[in-house]
Amino acid sequence: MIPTLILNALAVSSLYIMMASGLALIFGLRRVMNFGHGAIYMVGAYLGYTIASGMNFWAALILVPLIMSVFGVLLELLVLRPLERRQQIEVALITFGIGIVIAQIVIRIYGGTPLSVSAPPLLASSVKIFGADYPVYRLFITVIGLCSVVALAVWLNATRTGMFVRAVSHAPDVSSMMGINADRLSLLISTLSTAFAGLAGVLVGPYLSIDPGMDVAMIITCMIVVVIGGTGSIWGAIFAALIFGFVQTFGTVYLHEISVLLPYLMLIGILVWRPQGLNFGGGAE
Amino acid sequence: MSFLEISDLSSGYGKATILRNLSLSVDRGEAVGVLGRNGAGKSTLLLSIFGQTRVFGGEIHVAGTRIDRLPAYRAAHLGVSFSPQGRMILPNLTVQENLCMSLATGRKGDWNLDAVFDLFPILRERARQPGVALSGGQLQMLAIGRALMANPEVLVLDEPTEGLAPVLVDVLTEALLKVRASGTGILVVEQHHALIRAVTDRFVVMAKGQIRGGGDSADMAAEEYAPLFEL
Repeated sequence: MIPTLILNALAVSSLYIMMASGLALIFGLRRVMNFGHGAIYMVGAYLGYTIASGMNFWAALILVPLIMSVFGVLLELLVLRPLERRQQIEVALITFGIGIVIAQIVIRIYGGTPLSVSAPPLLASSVKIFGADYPVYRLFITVIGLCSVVALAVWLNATRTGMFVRAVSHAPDVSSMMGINADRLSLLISTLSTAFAGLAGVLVGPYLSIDPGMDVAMIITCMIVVVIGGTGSIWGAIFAALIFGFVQTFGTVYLHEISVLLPYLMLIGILVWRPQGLNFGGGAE
Repeated sequence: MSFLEISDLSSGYGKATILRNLSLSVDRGEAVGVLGRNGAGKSTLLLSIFGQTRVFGGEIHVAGTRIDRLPAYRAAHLGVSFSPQGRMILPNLTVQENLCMSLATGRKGDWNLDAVFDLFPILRERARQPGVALSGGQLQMLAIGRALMANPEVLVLDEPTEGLAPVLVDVLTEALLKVRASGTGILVVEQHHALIRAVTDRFVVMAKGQIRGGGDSADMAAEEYAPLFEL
């Protein structure tokens, strides 16, 4: 039972990590909370459904992040950059509105009934782990989540562009005086962020379900994760996503009566303890 | 037109005007010192070059390009680089990463990691440590090194000796003389008359957001300039 729960928690955490790290990166560079991030994820999931039924799952896994990266370019060029000098809350509200519009368009096209995607044959089986059968597909999600964290870490810490991102996230004014072009980095980060949201959307299809409320559920989770992690702190967000996945998974089983409340209790508890969030290294101040 | 040409500049923060119709130019390879009391607008002058103030009027040109309406990062790309007051070293980056921030300018030249480490050997020893792990003098060396990594035509420094012991002021003076010898120009705001006299060709004195006068740095102590320092 416990090993299965741990694996489940890791799988769901992986989705949260892919979503929240993208949000935290945008926040670090632009100081804007992108409330439309859940809608991007939703589009990714529905597009994934279409491509998986028309072609196959693997095509969706590659094509959807590519298509969604175009949304990132649009987000940067049409929203973040023109509104750069506006107040954070105004830009956040605009992204919130855009998210609602996008979600409604998706519902208009696909209808309101939940859809499901089946896992590709290669991943549809299960394996024995500690004596229990466990679906290979969930392990696959965890592996993708782990790979994306490692790739992100290497990119941020071992490349020059990654170093510039850390510099701008920490001190945008100093970085610009030293010649770092935050606009160009922001374009890259927005693209990465929406591509990751698209990837999470494709991955969620065969695991949970694709339904009209998925964007709202995900964005609330992401907000909690990013705030717990310390707004703008990438490592904080990743760690908080892990905690959130575990609390949610174990809470549903062991504290069933209050499981819905648990994330909020955790949020309140952590903010009372550390108002700045967990905020390890490289976060916004 | 000079390499760095500030003409008739009025700038400040929000609605407050700090600089009033200020003009100043620095040629390639030239060194200019800016003196003046606290609140005279010296830092505002330097921050205006790097896009951190609101420009109400006038123009700033670097290498013939008007930059006061361009994004802040452009100044460093065009060949002026900044060692700001308070050093502004990023604590979440290592010493070497702080230095490499300036590589964003894409400017090539003699100043690279090795050259900076030769100028300030202590930075080589501390290269892998986080930026916060340094003493005040080392932070200042890092700030100057970081600006040099941009291979500027004119290096801009805001109060480099602030809070440093006299022996460190001597070290910095030596280093800035080497920078000059390499052909790089300098625009330095400084309270230390000795540093200005040793490092720069000429000086200007600011008061109330304007330049009130100036002359050859070698003659700074001359009787005729005494009234300027009373301002």
